[in-house]
Amino acid sequence: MRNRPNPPLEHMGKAEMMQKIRACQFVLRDLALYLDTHPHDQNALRHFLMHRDEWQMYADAYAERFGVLRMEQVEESPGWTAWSSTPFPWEKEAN
Amino acid sequence: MFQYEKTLQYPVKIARPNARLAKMIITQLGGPNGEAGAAMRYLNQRYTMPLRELQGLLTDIGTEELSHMEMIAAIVYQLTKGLTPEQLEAQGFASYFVDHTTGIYPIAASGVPFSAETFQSTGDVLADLHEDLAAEQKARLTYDNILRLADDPDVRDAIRFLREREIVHYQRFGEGLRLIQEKLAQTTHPHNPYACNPSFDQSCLRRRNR
Repeated sequence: MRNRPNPPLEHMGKAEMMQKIRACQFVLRDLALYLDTHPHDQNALRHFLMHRDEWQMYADAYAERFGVLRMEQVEESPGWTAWSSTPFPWEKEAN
Repeated sequence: MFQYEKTLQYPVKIARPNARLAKMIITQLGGPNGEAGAAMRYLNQRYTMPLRELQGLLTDIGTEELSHMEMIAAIVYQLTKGLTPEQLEAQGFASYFVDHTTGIYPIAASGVPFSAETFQSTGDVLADLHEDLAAEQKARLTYDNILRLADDPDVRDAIRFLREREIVHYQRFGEGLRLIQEKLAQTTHPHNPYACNPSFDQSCLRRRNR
């Protein structure tokens, strides 16, 4: 299910939102490695799911305003440029 | 299948170009303890891993190493961007520049190109996991040495992040090793972990009768 951005999200700046996305993604990646060796740790799994939902919310809100992070997020409008016209992450201005 | 996400795992934003630093840091892209070797090592070792947990661990750590390759390349790219040929030469970058301009090419700090000879995939779970533990320590010490030599705060910030990930990976590989050792202790040869190779011998992990 696609989460709608709530009002405070809409007032968040691009850099601030990207920082949130990276933070969520970091928690997810780190927990994933832990869960690989502790697959039955329900507490770790709960944290994973919580941050997965948070990541989804920020990634969707970011996509609507600043461009998509994954090509699967492209919509008919504004189209492919939401993926292709944003700077690649190795450029200073993308960070 | 791998999917691309259009963001770095950790931001790289370097204010001052410094080709001397770039020439050193590129070793973590194409050098003997670098991220390209790490990604190739884990992503190739994973196929014959005898436990699903280990296949998953190598896939996920190997994937993260690809993100680290991208971070190192971004650091080198930003450190060499906007410099004149004269500045590049003055900063000791002429020998790289003459072949690659400021393109990103995986080499060691010594100039030796990336080679699969820097890693192993043995098809033996115990040998592979011990290699992986050592690889994380080798990457960690290389980042330690980079931190001894690099004084740019923007560079140090990203390098510190990468260094910390090596320690986390080392921890997880240790747990992976423990998982397979526990499995081997439940087999028909509980006191001889070398009785057979569970990556190759089909019946190796058969449990002993109680």
